[in-house]
Parts: sequence; C-alpha cells; structure tokens
Amino acid sequence: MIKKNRQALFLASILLLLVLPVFAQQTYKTIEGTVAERRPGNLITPIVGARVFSDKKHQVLTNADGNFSLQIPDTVQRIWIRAGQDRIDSAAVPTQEQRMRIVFPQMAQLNDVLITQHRFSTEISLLPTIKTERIGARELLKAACCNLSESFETTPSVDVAFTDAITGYKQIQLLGLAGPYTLITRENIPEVRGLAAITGLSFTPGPWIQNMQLSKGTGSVVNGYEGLAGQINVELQKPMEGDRLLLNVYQSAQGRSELNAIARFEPKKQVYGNLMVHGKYQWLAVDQNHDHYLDQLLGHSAIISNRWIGFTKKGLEWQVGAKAITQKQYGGSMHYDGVENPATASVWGLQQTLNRYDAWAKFGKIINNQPWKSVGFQMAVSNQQQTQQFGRRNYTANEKTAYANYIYQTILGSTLHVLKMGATAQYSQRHETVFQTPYHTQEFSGGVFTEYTRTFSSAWNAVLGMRADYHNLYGFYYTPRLHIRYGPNEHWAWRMSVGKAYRSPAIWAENPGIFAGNRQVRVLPTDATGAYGLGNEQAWNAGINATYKFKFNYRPGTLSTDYYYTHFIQQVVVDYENPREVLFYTSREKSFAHSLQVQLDYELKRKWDLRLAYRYHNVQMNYQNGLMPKALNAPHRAFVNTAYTTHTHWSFDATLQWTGPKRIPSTLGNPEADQLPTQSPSFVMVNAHINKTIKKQWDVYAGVENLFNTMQTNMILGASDPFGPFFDAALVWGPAMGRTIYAGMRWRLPEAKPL
Amino acid sequence: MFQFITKASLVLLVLLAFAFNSNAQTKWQTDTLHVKGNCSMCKKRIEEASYIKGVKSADWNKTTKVLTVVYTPAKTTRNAIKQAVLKAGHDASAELALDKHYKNIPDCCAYRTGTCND
Repeated sequence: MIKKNRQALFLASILLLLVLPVFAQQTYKTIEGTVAERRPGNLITPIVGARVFSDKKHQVLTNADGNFSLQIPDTVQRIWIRAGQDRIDSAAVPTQEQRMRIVFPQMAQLNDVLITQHRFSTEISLLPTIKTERIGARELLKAACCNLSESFETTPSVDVAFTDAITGYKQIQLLGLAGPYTLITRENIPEVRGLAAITGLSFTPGPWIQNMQLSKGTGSVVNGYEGLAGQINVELQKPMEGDRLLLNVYQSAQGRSELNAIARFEPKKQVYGNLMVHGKYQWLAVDQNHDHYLDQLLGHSAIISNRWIGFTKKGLEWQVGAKAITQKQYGGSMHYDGVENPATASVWGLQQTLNRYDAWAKFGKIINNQPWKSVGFQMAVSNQQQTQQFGRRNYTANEKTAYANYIYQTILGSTLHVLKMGATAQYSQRHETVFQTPYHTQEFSGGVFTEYTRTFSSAWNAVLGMRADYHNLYGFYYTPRLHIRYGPNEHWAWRMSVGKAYRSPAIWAENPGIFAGNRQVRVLPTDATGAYGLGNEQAWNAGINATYKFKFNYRPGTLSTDYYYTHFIQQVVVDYENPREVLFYTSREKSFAHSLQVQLDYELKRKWDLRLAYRYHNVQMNYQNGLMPKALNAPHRAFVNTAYTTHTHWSFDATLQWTGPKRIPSTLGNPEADQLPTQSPSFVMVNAHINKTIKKQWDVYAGVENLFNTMQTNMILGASDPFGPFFDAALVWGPAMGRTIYAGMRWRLPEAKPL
Repeated sequence: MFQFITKASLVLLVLLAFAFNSNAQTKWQTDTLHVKGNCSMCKKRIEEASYIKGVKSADWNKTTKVLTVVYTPAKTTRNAIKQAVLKAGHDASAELALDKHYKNIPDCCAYRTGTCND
C-alpha cells in the first residue's frame, strides 16, 4: 500500500514537473468550426448545443448554427466533441488557421453499433434535467410476459399489484400512489386514463414496446397537468427501423397462449408503415390457491394496430395510426360455465366484454431548415365500450375522448435558451351505469403552456414550466413546475424537481375491486358540480435525486438514490375500513406520501449485471377516522436482480423481491372465519428467465414466475356464500397466482444490411 | 421489521464482498496493443474479440488505435489476446490479420483501404 502511494507520489511529481513549464509560458489560440451530423437522405445538419472541449476549463457549446469558437492553450493538439449522451469524438487541432468541421455519422438507430460502452438494460442518464429511467428492449426481454402491467417486474421503482382476486387485472404504483396518479402515455399521447385507468395497461402487449421512459415526480408541463406521481412514456416499435418481421409465440403451463406479429413496410421512399397484431387466449381454468374461484379470467383478447410515418423533403414529418382492441372474458366461480347470465346464475360468475378504438395523427415540421425551430401537433380520439357483470352487480360504461396538443419550439438567441409554447385541449364523455344507477360525466379542459429551458453551463441547467388550464367542472388550474440539474462532472448528477398536478377522479373504472364483492358502495358528495359529486385531486410534489456513475474494478456501475414528497391539497379517498361498505369522499387535508429509493447497478463481470434496490414508502391518507397508512401498501420493499449473458448467446436472469407487511383494512365486522389479520405477512417472490439466441434470427426462452409458489390463500372472504353480505375479493395483498412455468420463442427477419 | 432490514443488508453485503473478493485476490495485468481499425463498429468488434477467458476489461481507442487490456496472467497472455484480435480481422501490433479473416469484416470497416472515415 505504502509502496503504491510512493509510486503514485513519484509519478505525480514527474507529471507536475512536466506540466509546470507549460503553465509558465502558456499562450492561447482560438479555433473555430462547425459540428454537424449526417441525417437520413444524406442531409447534413448542424448540431446545436454540442460540447466542444479540450479539458474542463476550456469548453464551449455550439450555437444555433452548430458553430463554435473555442480558446485553447497552444499546446493542445486534440479537442473533444460531445453531442447528446452517446456520441463523443475527438479531432486533431489543425496546425494552420483553418475552420474545423466535424460531421458525426448518421445516428445508428438500427444496430447499437455506436454505443461503445456497456449499456445497462435500464439506464439512468446523467444529462437530462429530469431524471429518467430508460427501460430498454433488453430489460423488457428479461420477462417474457405479456403486457404493459407485467413489464415492470424487473424495475424497482414500480410496484405491481392485483386490483382484486377475480379479474386478474394488475395496477402499477409509483411513489406508493395508485396507478392513475401516474401519467401513462403512448408516444406522448395520454392513453391509460379515465375508463382505461386500470384496463388500459392490458392494451399494450409487451413485444410491441420498444422502450419506456420512466420519471418520478411531476414531469414536463408539455404533457398536461396530470402525472403527479410520475410519468411513463411507452415507445412502440417504430415503422422506420428494426426487424422487418417479428413473430412471437408464448405458452404458459397455466393455459395462457399468446401470439404477436409485427411487420414493417416501406412502400415508397420516406414512407414507412407497420402492422402489429396480438392475440391472447386463456383456455385452462386455473385455481392455484384452491379458493374455488378462477385465478385468471378465461377467454380471449385481440389487439391490432396499424400506423404510417412519412418524411417529406421540406422537413415535414407526419404520422397516422389506429388501434382496435377487443376482449371477451369470463371468470368467477370454478363452476360457472361462462354462458349463463351471472345476474341470474346460481353460482357467482363474471362476464365482461370490452371494445376500444383509437386513432391518432401527428405532424411535426422544422421551420425554415432551422433545426431548433419546430412545430408539432398531435391529436387522438378514442372510444371504449365495456360491459361487466360481476355476479348480481353490473357495470357498463362507454367513454369517448378527444385530445389535441400543439407545441411550438424555438430558441432565444442561442440554444442555451430554449422555449416551448403550446396549447392543449382534452375532452371526455363517460356514460356509466353502476348497479342500475346512471352516471354521466362530461369533462373538457383546455389550456396553454410555456416551458423555458435554460442551460447555464454544462453543469447547470433548469427547466421552468407553467400551464394554465380551464376545466369545465373544476375551474382554473395553474400548474407551475421547476426542474434543476447540477452535473459537475462525468460521474455525478444532482437533480431537483417541484411541481403541482391535478386530476379528476373516475372512481368506478379505477376501482374494479368494489364490484368483486358485496360491500355497499357509497359516495359522500362534497362538490355538487364535480364528477360523481366529488372534488378533484390536487397535490404538490417535490423531489431530489442523485446519480453517481463509477468504475470499480474496471467495471461500470451506477448508484442512484431519490426521495420524493407528495403533499395532497385535496384527495379522493377510497375507504374500505368498514367491511360492510366502500366509501368515496373528498379529503381536504393532511394526506401525504414520502418515498425513498436507493438502487445500485453494477456489472460484476463483463455481461454479468447485478441490481440491488431498496425502497421505502410512508403513505398516509386522511381517512374518515383520521390519518392512517394507506391500505394494502407495503412501506418496505427490497429487490435483487441479476442477469448474465454468455459468449454463446445464452442469457440468464433472476429476480428476487421481498415485499414487507401491508396494512389490511379492518375486517372485525365479519364472522370470525372471514376475518383477516390487521397486517399481511411479508413475502418473497422469485422469477427466473432463460433465453437462447440462435443465429440472430431465433430466440427461444423459458422461465418461471413465482418460483416458490408464494400465494395469498384467503383472498376471497365469504367465498362459500358469494351472494351473502361477507363476500369480498378486494382485500388483496399478495400474489393471486402461484408458480407459472412458460416457454416461448421469437423469430425475426432482420433489417436488410445497408451497403 | 428492523431486524429484517439488518438481516437483508447483511446478506447483500456478504454477496457484494463475495463478488469483489474474488477479484481482490487475483493480480491483474494491464497491457496495450496497437490495433488497426477505423470506426465504432470496429471498436465493438475488437473489444468483443478481446474478451477471451481471463480478460477483465478491454478498451480500444478509436483515435489512438490503442487497445488497453486488463487480464489475469495466470489465465491468458497478451499474445493470446492478440491472436483473438487478429482472428477477428484486425491487424494487431505489427502483425497482419490473415486475408481470410480480414475479408469477414464489412466493407465499411475496411481499414486497410480507408473507405470509411466516420
């Protein structure tokens, strides 16, 4: 050790000796040049805001035309250019006075050839002002299954839980707050909301997803006033890139069959289309927890989507697309045949049909060939119709929505000041019938926003956003949001965010659990003009986070920690505290949520990744009986994931999750047999997955979910008398399904190699 | 509750210690090779090829053409890494790759003729 130190000291002194004379007579020179990149169609466009530097002290960002002028010591022979997070290059300083010209090659969208470092399958970049976890395709492949709600099994930030013991729907949670508090967008169009708040997660099949960006806390105002716990943006497979054809089949031992097909077309130069098809069929009645109720709904679901994207020579980019979803499922008691109307059947059954149609269009244009000035416009419409018969209880709903968003982006002087302005309009009309009572909710909101991004230096930047919207039921919404990033060097990024968010409740669609039971449902009206007589939800959210990238023992790693605090000004509370009823009411004070997460990602050996995470939630809700921890929410959760890929293209992945105890609402009013403890036990879930890639075209995989067969056995209270008062399937704290073994394969026709 | 966390963190620590310990005992050797190539695709190929058994880290610098490798001398040698790189079609430290190997790399990486300069 001492010897090493001495060596280092010796080296350092030599270095100093070498460097000192240079400092003594340092003279400067100015170099000038342009940074550009090659775009599709052999277009060369300047890169704005690229960092040109020789060392920490001598650096500059390129201006709006991609030009730079940098003062460097005479002795410097090489400068570095960094554009975005992936592209870095160096160039020799010309000996004569000569303009430099650096042209980056075309961004390789197809193969990851430009990505020269090891990339973790989920990455947290140091550069964006808002901390974003990029969940890449490789992460998604770790779990073979099946739709968006099941894609987060290897992501510690997201909790996934069953909504009830009957429907098999899962909902996600960020920061310990229910799924609908997270804004889930499909390529920046809000999708999973309103009537689709829970069911919507099953509308995006896993193999369709190219990548996801997850950010916690309030996001950009450009996407609207919602999203108080965070935002998840899902990018689907693009028509312009990737495999020409992808086929995927999946089969689980529990009788779940899935088929996915994605085809890509290029009928004309610069016009691209793709067609995605998904089919799912659950044909085996499974009851792993032996409660005589099906764990999963039987039946089928089909989704088809087609979209077209084009680029014109004048810099206009357009996209149109449509998607259709149909689901027909039944479940409930093992003895229910699926045909009889559950309203009159002697056994408890569930029948549901769901149809949804989506259409959207997007336009984007660069103005006057200036890449920093652009306009974007997107619009979407949807229509969802669903009918559910839960035993004697009936829920039918129809929702029509329309959405439009216009964004204008420009710079003020240089790209150090970027300004976005725009307007958003959102309309939804929901007709629901709940136990024969009709509810009509018509919502319209429209507003304007502006967002100013200021880059102070390569270390400091900030985004200030402001929205003002008018909502027809709740009046004016003012949504300020601020994000600050401090990234002093290549290793650290500190970020902070604070912002306000709003949302309107859609209580029936967001709580399917109330139908899977015989609790009396009551809404305590507080706001005569509001939806369902309830107020809206408003909250402030603030957070700080730190990300540290390091190299230890020659291998890269990331240590990341974040803390978020949500303070509700007004919240709609779903109250299960009395076992005889479910209450909905507006709470005006005190509810809050603290959320802390620590995560370590490290590559132990080449291609052997380890992820450790721990998160803590303290979510308190202001119930009628006072402040209490949120029901069925686990304050503690720990997580270990490891993935290894061999030279021979085998990959192994295993995840262990420990979920701490959750508070169960009181069941004291029930007969003793139908009572639950006040706290659930903690439990461990282990998933494992093996994949083998054969000749780049084939992937064969197999895996097991819930290896130790951990299950909540007493999931349905009063199961023996489903029409009696004690029947209740909403108090779910653990997995409804036991060990699931599955296998599947993917076949792809790769991109034709460019010459 | 607290007990669990203590236990869990202990387990994790042991795991980590185990993972790092195996490395702490071994001596690593760092060496450099001069490898010809010209682009990021070459970089990927060269590094991929260098990771033979016993290699901890391989990093090829596109501008200086220097491949820096860290390896366990007990398990492999500089020459073995060099041979692996040659076999991938890249000239290494004054030794030319065989034509049959050079032919396998795509046209855009043909560093001998300099057709690619990204």
